[in-house]
Amino acid sequence: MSIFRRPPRSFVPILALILCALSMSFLMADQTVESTVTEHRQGEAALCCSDHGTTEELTAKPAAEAKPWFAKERKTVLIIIVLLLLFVSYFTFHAQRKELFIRRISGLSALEDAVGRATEMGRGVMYIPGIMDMDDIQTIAGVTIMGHVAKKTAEYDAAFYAPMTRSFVMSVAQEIVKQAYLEKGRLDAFRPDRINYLTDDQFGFVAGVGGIMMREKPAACFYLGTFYAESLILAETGNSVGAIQIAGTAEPSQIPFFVAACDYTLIGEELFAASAYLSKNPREVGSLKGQDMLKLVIIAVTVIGTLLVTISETEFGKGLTPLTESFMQYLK
Amino acid sequence: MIFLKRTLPLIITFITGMIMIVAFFSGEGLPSIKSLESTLPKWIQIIMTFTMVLGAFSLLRINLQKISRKADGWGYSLVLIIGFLSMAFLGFITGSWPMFDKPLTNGEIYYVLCEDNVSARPIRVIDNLKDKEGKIKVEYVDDKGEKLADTESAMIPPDTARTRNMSYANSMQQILFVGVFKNAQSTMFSLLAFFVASASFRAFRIKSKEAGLLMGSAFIVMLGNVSIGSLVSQILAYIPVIGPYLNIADIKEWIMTYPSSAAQSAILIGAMLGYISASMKIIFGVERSHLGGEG
Amino acid sequence: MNIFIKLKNLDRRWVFLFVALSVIIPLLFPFALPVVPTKAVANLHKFIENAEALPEGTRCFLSFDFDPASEPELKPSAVAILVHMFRRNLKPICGANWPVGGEMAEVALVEAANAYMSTYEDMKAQGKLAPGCKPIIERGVDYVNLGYKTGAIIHVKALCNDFMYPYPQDRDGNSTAEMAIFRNPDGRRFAMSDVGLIISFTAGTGGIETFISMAGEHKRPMAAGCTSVNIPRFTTYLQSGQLIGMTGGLPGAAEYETLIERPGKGCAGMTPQSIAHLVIMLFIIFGNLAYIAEQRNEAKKKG
Repeated sequence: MSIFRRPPRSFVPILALILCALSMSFLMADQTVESTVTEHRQGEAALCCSDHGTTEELTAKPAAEAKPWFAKERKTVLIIIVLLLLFVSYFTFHAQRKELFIRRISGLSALEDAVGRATEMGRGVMYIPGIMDMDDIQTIAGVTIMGHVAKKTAEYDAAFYAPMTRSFVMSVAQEIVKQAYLEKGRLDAFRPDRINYLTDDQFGFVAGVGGIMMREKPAACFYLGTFYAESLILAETGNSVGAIQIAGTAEPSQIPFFVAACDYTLIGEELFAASAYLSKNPREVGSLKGQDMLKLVIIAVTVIGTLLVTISETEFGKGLTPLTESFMQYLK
Repeated sequence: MIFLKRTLPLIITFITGMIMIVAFFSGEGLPSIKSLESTLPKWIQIIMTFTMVLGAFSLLRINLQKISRKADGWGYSLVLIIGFLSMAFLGFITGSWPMFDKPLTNGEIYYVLCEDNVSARPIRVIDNLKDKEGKIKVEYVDDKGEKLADTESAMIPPDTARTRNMSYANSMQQILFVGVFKNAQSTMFSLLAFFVASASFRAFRIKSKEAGLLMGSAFIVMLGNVSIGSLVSQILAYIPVIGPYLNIADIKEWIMTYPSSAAQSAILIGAMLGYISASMKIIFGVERSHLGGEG
Repeated sequence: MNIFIKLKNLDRRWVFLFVALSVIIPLLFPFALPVVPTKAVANLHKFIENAEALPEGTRCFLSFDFDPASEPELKPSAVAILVHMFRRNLKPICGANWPVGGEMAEVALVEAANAYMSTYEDMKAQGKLAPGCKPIIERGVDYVNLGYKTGAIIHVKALCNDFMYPYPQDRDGNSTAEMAIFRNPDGRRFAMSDVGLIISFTAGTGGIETFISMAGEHKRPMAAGCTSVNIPRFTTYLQSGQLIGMTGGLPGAAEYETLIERPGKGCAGMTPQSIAHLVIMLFIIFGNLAYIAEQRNEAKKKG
């Protein structure tokens, strides 16, 4: 079941217009109501302030009554999300009619080769979906890719090790891998004891994984999810056992370590694109394109903002200062 | 079964996702909805706590099986079980002490934890009635129960006083935590220093102009971060014309403040967009791979 | 050239050995290297030193959001900042968003308090103490350790709503309602608005970024102490003005110790760190020489 059913083509632009209009009216309504009430009260105060108290007392009352339903300080976030939804919706429907192009992501293309290499060498595959819990989107992305890798290991009959640092993730991972083996008709090869929980402690976990790597000597290691300081320890230990390593994380501080120590690295959103890349599902590919469109909008806004701020700092750009200030104020 | 495994989780995901989105954008005019923004994360924390039990049982089961079958590496499993059980036992005993708390008796000797958090010193209770700050009056004694010379009586919270056996358990727990766990964590973290060196030696090759630029920046940042950098800057200052501008620390600051932060911000923006998009896909049921089976 | 090609396949244990020696030898035979404070550290020092920004007696909230693994990097800057606060007669209130952060805070507080009290007479003679400084500082009056509370952002939000509500007791079980450090002259309940500065010593998540995300609610100036690997991440907050200053890793601690003229573990760690960096750079150069030698050999064979 999908929440979205296929609407008529003309529905999307109409929906876009309606959503934009609703957002703008929601944002404006609050201010209009408050200012109207305040003006009215001020008008009343001007006529009868001598009888009913000072102007300040009367005009202070509206603040207590007109509490906004909408958190105005988050309006920019709402606009971004609405835009993203619109782009994603449009390209999701568009993708179902026409195949959309995704550029080659070398780390994901090497996935099958890595598993094949492990099978040829008679060694196993190790997969670590990060060290955070299921409430982290990177972990969800990690376990999603784990399903694809598990299908390959089921197909090629390679051992699959997946030590976990969260018991909840372990349960989900066991279910996903079991399902993958079932789909490939290799449920007999599924070993739940290899998808096990070690410890919640970051360095205790990496010590345990290091031990497993040194004993089992996997030929392919996948590190896809949220990692912190243990990233380099994992990657170097994997390198010392001669494994091909594919890593991916959206943690900017750990990406350099993976780039230096691993054979392939998925940087930032490439991790989230993996599911669409591997499945080639039109809906997922379309949502990826919608995401890219929003990135273009953000780039445009960044360039415009940079130009405005730079020019208004110069002597001949002083006239642009009010525009720049409004622009920056609106972005906050 | 399909309904319970796939459809119901999707419905629950959609409903809770929409509630959280509405709560996030709600203002003060909708207090009951706004309060969900802080209430639901607390519920998540409570649910996550139950899953810790799941993990602990799984860990014990797998390792006990390895020991019973004398599988390869069963010695490591034995060490794990011993460590697991001792820390758990000591933690339960010391943590559940307040449940067995009895009123302190005047004249009896108890033990309080010293500042090093490991050893305990004996005290005798003089007056077990609490003052307005909730403290009781005690005096410091030696192991034989004699009052220590040159010490005055002190006021301490009554729940810091332990019986002899309980203070031993407390000290043992602290020894295992401070002596073993903390040092083991620091040791694992210190491995990074060695691995950075070996990874750099193996991976940093100037295969292209960009790699050369990376190498140059890395050298400047590495030098600028440490005191040697200022010595190098003093030497470079002797170069005519450009010497005074070759302050390694200033160049490093510029690299960290502008190109490096710009790149980090760009990666973060991309990652955050990926986060939002992935979250939306999960909420609306487009992404279902984490439930197992075809997406 | 053959030497360089052999270097390419150097066993990594030789690299480990040289790195270990580069740290051990300077520790055994220490020598001082000059430490020049950077702008981020100097700004933080200047803010704490500024009597208008932080008058004597101002309470400051210090959040210890790290574990024993990051203690060598963050504890020196925490101790240096605490000593500086004691010398300025500011009152640190310590808490934690990480489970062992309370223990980290306790160790830092004890060390800083001892350092302050043992150098009180010297500092007073040199005129480097604030007028209201006392020779003996007391827990509950001049500083307090409130310990760890779960929740990260929820905890910070609770502090913004009612600071005392999550902390009926401090880490040792003493009632906070009776503590002199939380008393206001006008009898008002202690609130986040009474905090002059928030500093978070952050090793990862749940640290200063939590306070920054709540900046609109507490509106307090903020600063951070972070591990070296997180410096690029937090530099963006410095640029945007969300942080007034930052101490980054052990170099940041060394710079702060230099500014307060109290060399400690930070300064002591600079020499081994400098030598280790040089050794790593040498290995990178050797690796590249090996690579170039190999490329030339291959070109010769083809040609």
